[in-house]
Amino acid sequence: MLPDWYLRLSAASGSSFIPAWNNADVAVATFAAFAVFFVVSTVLAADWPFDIAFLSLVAGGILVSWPAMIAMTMASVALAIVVGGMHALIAPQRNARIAAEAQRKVAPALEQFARDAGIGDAERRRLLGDGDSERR
Amino acid sequence: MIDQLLDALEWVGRGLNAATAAIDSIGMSIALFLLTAILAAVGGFVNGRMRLYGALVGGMLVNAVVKAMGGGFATALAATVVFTAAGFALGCTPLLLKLMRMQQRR
Repeated sequence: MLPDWYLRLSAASGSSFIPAWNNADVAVATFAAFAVFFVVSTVLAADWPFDIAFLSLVAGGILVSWPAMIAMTMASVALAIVVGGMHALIAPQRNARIAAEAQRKVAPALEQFARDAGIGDAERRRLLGDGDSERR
Repeated sequence: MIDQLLDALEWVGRGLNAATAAIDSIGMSIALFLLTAILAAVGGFVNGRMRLYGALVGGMLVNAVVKAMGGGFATALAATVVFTAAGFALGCTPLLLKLMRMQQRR
């Protein structure tokens, strides 16, 4: 059922932490789970699918060898960039709202941190922005 | 129950021992631990869940390094568990502040 090139790749990738599965099998299954739940989390703008996507990547990483881990992580980052870019193109207002909400969540903690670190007002505004761009 | 807990702790201890042997550099172990704590602290700016995720990312980096240095799957898993837990515990804002002040003093 599976193509020959994949069977050869799978055999060459070596055995994973699960003896019955090769590294390539685990990496493909993990990446598929990540892709599905990451897209669902973007569409629904919900946290729980993102949690599942992230934890599946962690679980897959534990089970595979380090080259497979790196390949899987790079593929996931590339997918996240593509999905994020498409989301920004298809629904720019929704994307901006989510970004502003994230900024609002993080800004007080960063402000407090900058103050505790002894960073002056001018430098703090330069590093963190004064929030005007979000308010506009 | 206590026996099982002790067994688990012994397994983690043996794994950590093997992981430090695989990394074979105390400096690199400390650097990885600090990186895990910093990632946890940065995640902590958002919320507690992101702090855990930051620590997990650091733990997975340790996992990759241990595997790349010749450690087995179980060894890498034990190192991930320990580094993630320690990074999450220490990964708080005061640590980042201390590191920044140390850097400024230099």
